[in-house]
Amino acid sequence: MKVIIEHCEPVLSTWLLLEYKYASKLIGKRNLIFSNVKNLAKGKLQRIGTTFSESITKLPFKKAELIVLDPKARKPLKASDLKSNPILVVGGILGEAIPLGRTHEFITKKIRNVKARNLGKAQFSIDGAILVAKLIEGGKKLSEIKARLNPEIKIRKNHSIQLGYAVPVIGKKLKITPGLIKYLKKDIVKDELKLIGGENPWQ
Amino acid sequence: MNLPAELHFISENIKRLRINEFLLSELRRSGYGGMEIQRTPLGTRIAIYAERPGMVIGGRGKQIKRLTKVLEEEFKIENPQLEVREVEVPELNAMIMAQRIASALERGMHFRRVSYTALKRIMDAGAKGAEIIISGKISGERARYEKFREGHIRKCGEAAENFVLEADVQANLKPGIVGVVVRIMPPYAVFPDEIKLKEQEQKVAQITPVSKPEEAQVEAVAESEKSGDTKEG
Repeated sequence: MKVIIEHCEPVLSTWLLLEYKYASKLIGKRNLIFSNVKNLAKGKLQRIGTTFSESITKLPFKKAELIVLDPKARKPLKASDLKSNPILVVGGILGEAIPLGRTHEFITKKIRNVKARNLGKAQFSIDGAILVAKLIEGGKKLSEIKARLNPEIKIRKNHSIQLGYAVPVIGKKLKITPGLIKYLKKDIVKDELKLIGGENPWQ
Repeated sequence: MNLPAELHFISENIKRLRINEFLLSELRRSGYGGMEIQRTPLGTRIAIYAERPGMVIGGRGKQIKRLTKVLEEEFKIENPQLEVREVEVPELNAMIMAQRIASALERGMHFRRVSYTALKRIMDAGAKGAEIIISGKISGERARYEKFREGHIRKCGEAAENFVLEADVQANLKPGIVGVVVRIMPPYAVFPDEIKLKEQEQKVAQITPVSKPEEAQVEAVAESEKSGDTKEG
């Protein structure tokens, strides 16, 4: 199974890069393609996959080979869809807490008559969606895959962060993006200061 | 218009919500802290809670007259009688605290610093517990919920319904709209599992009548006779 991630965000943030890195680890560098990558992000993404500056909507892939993972799609993804070794298209979008349907708007709508499949009612992160697709490829049904909706990560004694998406659960383990908890506990403050300015709130 | 009972209550609550939103947008500067609507035989009494009641009334009552007119004409309220009440402890008013947080965020202050400061102020004012939730694209592309909690706060049950003060306000930031939810458990909240022990004095009062007063008196007289401490002699 090959995966194309259509990079739709204007910048490449640390959080997004962590998700991309885990996606690359899940399916392998050779099987991961990034499309719509602008010059700034190219260097970092070339280390974890193949990059194209054009959008998937313009790249010369056969429509019959593509399956867009779109929460707005009518049919759910099944193992039979993945038998012919298709190319999965995932929106490289950091979603809103209430999904806005941007994968449908930016990708599915622009590629006419492309096959689109959903992963149930829950919204997954980019790496989470790829992990679920991989489990389905391995023979599991979508209804058999467990996921925890909006998990909460404790940061300090009286501070916690609740994620706005579902995280797959394998066995009894929550398959959260590796490095994300450390980032949320420590390094996120640096990025926040760059973006919104002000003083370090922990000092 | 004949509406079924459910629709009537829904439309009344929507009306209440719209009035609250209108007053919030109009009285943000005067520290709007919520409102109460009461139907009376003479008309509708609306009590507005505010941090600065003078600003709600305005010079020569200009502002309050304008609000009364809008409520009567746009919201179709029969004979509205506006009453302004001062909020004595603004730190224990969820609406005021939520607005303070939202305006601090809009001024570019760091959300963690703002939240911790607000949480401390609420707790210092005597609240039993408080929770602040800031949600949306606070600092970056991924939307998330940042939760700050201290003390004891109930989410469901009788205590949550009767005592928890809750307010929801939006802040307009550069990356998008951010939601601010403040929940406060006020100092007067009584939890159903709180047990009060009877005071010690009451127990003593119950025990005393059991002792034999006659015997005690006889013993006291015998002692005084032994010592020869008599007034007559």
